[in-house]
Amino acid sequence: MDKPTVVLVVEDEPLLLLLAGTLVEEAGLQPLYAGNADEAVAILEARQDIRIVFTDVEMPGSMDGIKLAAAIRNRWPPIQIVVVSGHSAVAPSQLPEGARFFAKPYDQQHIVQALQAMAA
Amino acid sequence: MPVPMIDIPAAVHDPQRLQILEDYDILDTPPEPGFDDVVTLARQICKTPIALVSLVDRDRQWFKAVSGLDICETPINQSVCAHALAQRETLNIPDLTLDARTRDNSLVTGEPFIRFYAGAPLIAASGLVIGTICVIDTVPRSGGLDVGQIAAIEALARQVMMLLDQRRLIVLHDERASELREQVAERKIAQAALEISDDRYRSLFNSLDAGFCVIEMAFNKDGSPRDYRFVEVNEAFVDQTGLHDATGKWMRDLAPDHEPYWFEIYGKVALTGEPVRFEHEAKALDRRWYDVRAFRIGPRAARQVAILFNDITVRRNAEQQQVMLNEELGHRMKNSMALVQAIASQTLRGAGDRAAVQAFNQRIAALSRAHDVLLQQSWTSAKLADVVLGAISAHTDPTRVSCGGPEVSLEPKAALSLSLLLHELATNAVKYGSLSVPDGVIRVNWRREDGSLILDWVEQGGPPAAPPERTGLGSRLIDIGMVGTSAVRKTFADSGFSAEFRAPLHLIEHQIGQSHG
Repeated sequence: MDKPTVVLVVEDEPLLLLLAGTLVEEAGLQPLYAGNADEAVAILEARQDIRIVFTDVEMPGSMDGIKLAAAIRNRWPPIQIVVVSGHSAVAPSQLPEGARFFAKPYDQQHIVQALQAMAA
Repeated sequence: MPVPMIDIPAAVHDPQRLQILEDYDILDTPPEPGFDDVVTLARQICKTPIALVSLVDRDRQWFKAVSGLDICETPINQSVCAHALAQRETLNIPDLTLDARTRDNSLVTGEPFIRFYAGAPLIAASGLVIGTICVIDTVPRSGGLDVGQIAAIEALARQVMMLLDQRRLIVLHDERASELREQVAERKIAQAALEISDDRYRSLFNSLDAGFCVIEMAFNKDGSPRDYRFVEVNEAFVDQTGLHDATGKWMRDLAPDHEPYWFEIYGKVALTGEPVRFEHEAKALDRRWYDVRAFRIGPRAARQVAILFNDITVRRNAEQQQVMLNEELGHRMKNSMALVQAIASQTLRGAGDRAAVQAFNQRIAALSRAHDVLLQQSWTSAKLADVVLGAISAHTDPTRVSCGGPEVSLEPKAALSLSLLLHELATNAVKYGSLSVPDGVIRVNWRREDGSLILDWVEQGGPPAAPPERTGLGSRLIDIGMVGTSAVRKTFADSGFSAEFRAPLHLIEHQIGQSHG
């Protein structure tokens, strides 16, 4: 049996982190958790098997989600990216090509479908 | 005894002559030494008891000077002098009782019984005669005046004319003088008024909290504004702008980075004379914001503009901070809603009714979208069209929806409840109505009528509509309508579902300047 696709979830609000993890599972995928961009980068440097990163924008630390997305596209181009935010005014031009954006509070079904499509 | 008809010489009524007499402005004036002296001389030289200077008007003769007689005027038919008017020589009548012109004169036939008359005409520059200087006796004089006396009396006549002319000049001069005096007085009054108002102007000028200045525009050859110079500034000007000793200086020297906008707008005021009022930032003056009124002052050629202004930086900062706070609040609310969704999901995970959880999450999302629309106006109001589009476009492709109506600004509460209502309608349309088939469409239209908003929801191209079997939250929300007390009319037709919602405008429309709770 194939190992399920690993999704790294980056979110500073614990409950939302948990919710995102639940959706990843609902999509048939496996979640990993990080509380901010710095933690996320540490995990990405340590593992080879992460295929999708799901990140919030507003987070404490050296980078917000937009900067994190750019860094990931720069260093690990094959990784697919999903960005969510409470501020709906994030323009497509701010995100790497192919990244998907959802405004909070997001439609959970849409997220699940998007993750499934990316893992396929 | 009847008064005999006396022939009045035609010369008496000559309008030109009368005008000249009038111009001398001599009739009914008080006695004057010059004329009295002439009359005294005439008496002495002609050795008569009576002498007088007579001016002959149209219906009377009037004596400027008289000696030996106690009257100052007589009616024209008693005038002997009238007969002197037509000639330039002295009129000499040795015996008045023998002359046909005078024998019936009542001064001859009655008191004082005059008998001898000699009068030299007073000849005006135009040659017309205005009266006489004459001598009168109560006894006839054979031969009348002798040659020397005639010469003398004619000389005295010329003297009288000179007196009259001189007098007139003096009068004219006096009139002119008093006119001039009046003018000077007027100027002095005006000057004083100016000084008073100048003082008042000054004290108002300097007591203003607002900045006030008068500037003079300078233009390039092509008519575009180049610069402006301060003609005068009030005391508050320095506080309001930070510019010291501005009077007489050019703005571009004082603040080289001053934006072109300012020169353009003041230039326009100077040229058109149209006053303006506006708020604008002055980056060169410490990035202050100003509320400005500017108007042209003085004639167009002077190109001067008066400017009254207030530094509103603090107010604007407060306003902008308010906007930022509202937006931040809005975002935090959305995060909270995301948390609510997460809690619901996690809590109800094992509850089995996934559809219920989904419906819940979707309603939260609808509420959030409504918040987005309100955020666009910093939570003061939302446009009805934006609310409709925002609510429906989450459910379907916008090409399947057509909506229209007048512009209506909704109160936040009304915007939120309408959003939830539309969410229910759209959800139903997707599940059972026109949006459940590829070609189905929705039409949303609204109008104002008699103080109410009427909103129509019409589904077309879908399956026939039927009333729901259960009344869940969705149908209850629909039945409550836009504000909870308004009227809803639902139609379940073969062509599809439609509904009409009514709400009083005063409950849902945003009033500018008010904030409802």
